[in-house]
Amino acid sequence: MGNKSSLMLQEQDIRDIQAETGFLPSQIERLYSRFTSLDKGDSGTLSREDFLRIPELAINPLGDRIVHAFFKESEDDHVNFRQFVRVLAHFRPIKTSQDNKLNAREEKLRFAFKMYDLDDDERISREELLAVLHMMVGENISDDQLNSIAERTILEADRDGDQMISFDEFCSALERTDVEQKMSIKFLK
Amino acid sequence: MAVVDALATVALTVVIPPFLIILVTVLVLASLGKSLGLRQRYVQFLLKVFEFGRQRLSKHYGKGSGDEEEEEEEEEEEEEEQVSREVICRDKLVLRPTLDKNNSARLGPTHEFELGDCLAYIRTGMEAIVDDEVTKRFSAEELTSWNFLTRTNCQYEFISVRLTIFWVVGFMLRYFLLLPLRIIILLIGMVQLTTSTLLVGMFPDGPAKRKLCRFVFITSFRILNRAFSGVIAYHNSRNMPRSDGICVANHTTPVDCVVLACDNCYSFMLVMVVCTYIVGCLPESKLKHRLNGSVSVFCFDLLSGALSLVCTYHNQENVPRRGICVANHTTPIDVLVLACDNTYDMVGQRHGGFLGIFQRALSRASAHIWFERSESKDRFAVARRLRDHVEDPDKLPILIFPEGTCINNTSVMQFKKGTFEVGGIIYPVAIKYDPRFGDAFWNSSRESMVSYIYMMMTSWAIVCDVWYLPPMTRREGESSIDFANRVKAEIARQGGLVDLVWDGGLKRSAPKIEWKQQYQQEFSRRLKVQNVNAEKKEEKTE
Repeated sequence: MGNKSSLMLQEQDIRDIQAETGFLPSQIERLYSRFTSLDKGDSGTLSREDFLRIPELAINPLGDRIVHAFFKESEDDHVNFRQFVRVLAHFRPIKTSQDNKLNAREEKLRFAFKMYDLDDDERISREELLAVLHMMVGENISDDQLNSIAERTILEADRDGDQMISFDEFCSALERTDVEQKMSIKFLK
Repeated sequence: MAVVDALATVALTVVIPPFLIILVTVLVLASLGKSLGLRQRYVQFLLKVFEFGRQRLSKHYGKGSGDEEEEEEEEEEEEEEQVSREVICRDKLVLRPTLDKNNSARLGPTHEFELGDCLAYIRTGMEAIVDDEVTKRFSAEELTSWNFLTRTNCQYEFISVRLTIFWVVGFMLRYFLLLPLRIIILLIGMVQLTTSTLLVGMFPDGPAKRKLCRFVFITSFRILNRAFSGVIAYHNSRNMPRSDGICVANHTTPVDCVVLACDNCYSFMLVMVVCTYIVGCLPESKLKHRLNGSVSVFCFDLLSGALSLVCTYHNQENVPRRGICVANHTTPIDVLVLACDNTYDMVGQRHGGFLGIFQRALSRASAHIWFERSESKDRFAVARRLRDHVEDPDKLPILIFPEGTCINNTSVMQFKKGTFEVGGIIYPVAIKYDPRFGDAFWNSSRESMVSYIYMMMTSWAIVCDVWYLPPMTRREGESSIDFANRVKAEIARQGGLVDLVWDGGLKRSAPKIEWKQQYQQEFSRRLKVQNVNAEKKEEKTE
């Protein structure tokens, strides 16, 4: 019963979150309702298991990486509501009228970049790319094939010849991709 | 809860005179077979009150201030949700257990891997976190307007004075009038049932007995129905399962109604045991058949009365007479709802203890199918027993809930194919509860059976629609899975429920790894790879 929980969200919190993320109060309420329904232990935080209990996410080839994105900022493997909303805010559509740092094209790109950057060293190595490729194709393509795909991809994106893809190189590789549209969720008002 | 109970007993002594008057009026009216249309009016009236509450809430939103603002925002959300219940608008790519054919077409021909290929998966993953199709089906349905029950929206009752008054009146009504009334009428009904069945039992077999039987049951029916504000209207009764069909309900829940009975009132169980025993003693005959029918319909009606069940049965001409009856599953009460209108044989796991006694009592009168725990694992044995049952024209239709678990009244989930392999005629039944009068969904992982019963007995009423759909048979060359999906789509369409391909078992277990693998497979199929070997390998895996 989602409505019950929204009482726990203080008005001040809503204002703070609104200022930080650009979500409307009604959207924040609804996200909070969702947050509490995912929080099976009623602990006020979400664990990895809470996320992976969503079947649609569990069968997503990149599900583990997506869940991991929520745990970047937390030390103890728990996500609170503020962190939850902040990550989701990256996926707000870009509108010229509402300026917000979190959903800018660069932030969206950075979010995608982090998907590949397994060790958080701001560079995508061949091993990291291979690992993500493996997540996406499963056992359907041989290791040799994946190797050549990874090598080619790095060769094409790499400008400074260090055999890695930096964030800048990642951005220029995706220059012609419609990131704004592909990384936006239509949140209803 | 104990405090509430204590309060209820105290208040009972105070309000007993008016209470008795109401009780007597109800009984007299019922035994005379007269109807004042009270139950319909009760329901109509409740709707009006709810509408009033909604208006007060939105009015209050306009002028509120200070610490009440919180509720206002909640309310604002509610207003908007009347337009749309969704949090977000989903993209076309939604991951489901079975691949969407359109998706593959949309994503186009093979291409070389690009770094941006993962974006679609990231987005759909994030969308799933905000709003997914499955998990919300396992929690209580959200309401558009407050129904004056604190369990659905807490603290609403303090928003304005008038609302508070309404809520208090409603509370008094439900706990001090409806609850005791329900219990008392349950008792009266029970006494009447025992005595009348005993009397009837003493009569020699013959047309007189049959007539008497019918009369006794119909009058008892009336009393109970009236008293518990049961508004029943069946649709398409011609599709009602005939004697030897299957009316689908696997899951252990056919027994849940039994659990319901024993948690609720042990004495009622006794009645049922006695009745079924009496019926069981009779020689195999048409009469036994009929008597069993009336007794079980009666008993279930009694139970439904105790819960203020208001059912509307549509298309009575479709009521199953034989074969398998398939229904969607929201709560253990489903069994009750269906059993009120027709008699079914049930399928379920054999239990020990008190439940076992009940099951034995039931099967004494009719051929219910109870399995040993070990046996139920063996799909072939189950299918064989079902088939034997269906092929015997003297047996009652079987009731099966092929979803295998309770879904929250907004959707139907994957039907297990076993039921549809048996053959014979399938009678689909769609059940849709009206959540405004009290949520019938039993969230088994959150609340116990006892608290569920308590909630049901103290809610306004249980209002539901039952549609009997025309019987369906498996087409030539149709796989059992396709057939199951066809039946499911039909039920979803009639009940106004969302048709989902997800497995209801996800409530408790993790999704299968194969579902993920097929997405990986699909993704790799679209990837251009240089080597011919790889393509061969791909084909092999397909």
